[in-house]
Amino acid sequence: MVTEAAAANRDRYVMIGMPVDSNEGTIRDFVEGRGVGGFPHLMESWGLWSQLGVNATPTWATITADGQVNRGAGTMPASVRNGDWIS
Amino acid sequence: MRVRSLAAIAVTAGIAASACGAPPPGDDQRAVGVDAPIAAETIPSSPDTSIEPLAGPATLEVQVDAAGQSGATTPPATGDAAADSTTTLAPTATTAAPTEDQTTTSAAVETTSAPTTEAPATTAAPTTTAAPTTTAAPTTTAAPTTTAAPTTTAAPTGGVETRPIVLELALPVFGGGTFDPNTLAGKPIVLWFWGAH
Repeated sequence: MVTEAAAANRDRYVMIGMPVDSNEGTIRDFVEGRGVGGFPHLMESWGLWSQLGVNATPTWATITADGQVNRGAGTMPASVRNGDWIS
Repeated sequence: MRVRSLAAIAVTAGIAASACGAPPPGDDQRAVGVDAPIAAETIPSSPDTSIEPLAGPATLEVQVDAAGQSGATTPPATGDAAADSTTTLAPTATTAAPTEDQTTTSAAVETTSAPTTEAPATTAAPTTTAAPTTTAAPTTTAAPTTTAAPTTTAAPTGGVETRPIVLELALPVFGGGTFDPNTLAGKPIVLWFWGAH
């Protein structure tokens, strides 16, 4: 669903995957196994996890064009996937 | 009063002063276990007799009457020579007593000095512990902490956050290449944090 939503809303927002594990093999297995390779997955988070207060997976976060950040734990809701948060 | 008896007393009591001729009577009483005071004037302060080694233990049993007179003494039965030497042994043994005392005292002093000596050694330990202080390397590790500077900027938790925090990063991307955050300028972003487990 994430991949499809990212592809469908490519003109509205950019989807970025943030794997908790930086092991390339683990990421590959996950990305290929789940079929979520339609958007970039960062190998390094550079502290974004802690900066955004993420301590569990899955967690999603939206950053608006003017810098507003919202996040939530659990499966990404349809409102987020569909870009309803974009003004 | 017999010199032999007093000598034995001195030996038994281990009182050095009695051999020198000036013992407090009370001390002798305690040492020997008698009520009467024991005069020490009969003990030669400077014995002119030659000292011979003890043939047996320098312990004598002394009985003293109420008048302070020594009674029968039981020398360490080692023949006549031993009996003679017993009298002479008094100063020797008595002299030995203080020697032992001194030795013991000095030992104690050494023991006391030992910890004193160890004290600095132990104190030196902290000096060695200064090494960890030298391990200011971790302080150097503070560099990463400095890297955490962005963390300061990242105060957000559901609040407003400035975009540059994310855009300043040049991040490797799975599959090769580097993600250029500048491409996100002015665009809404969805971050999806996931774990394989």
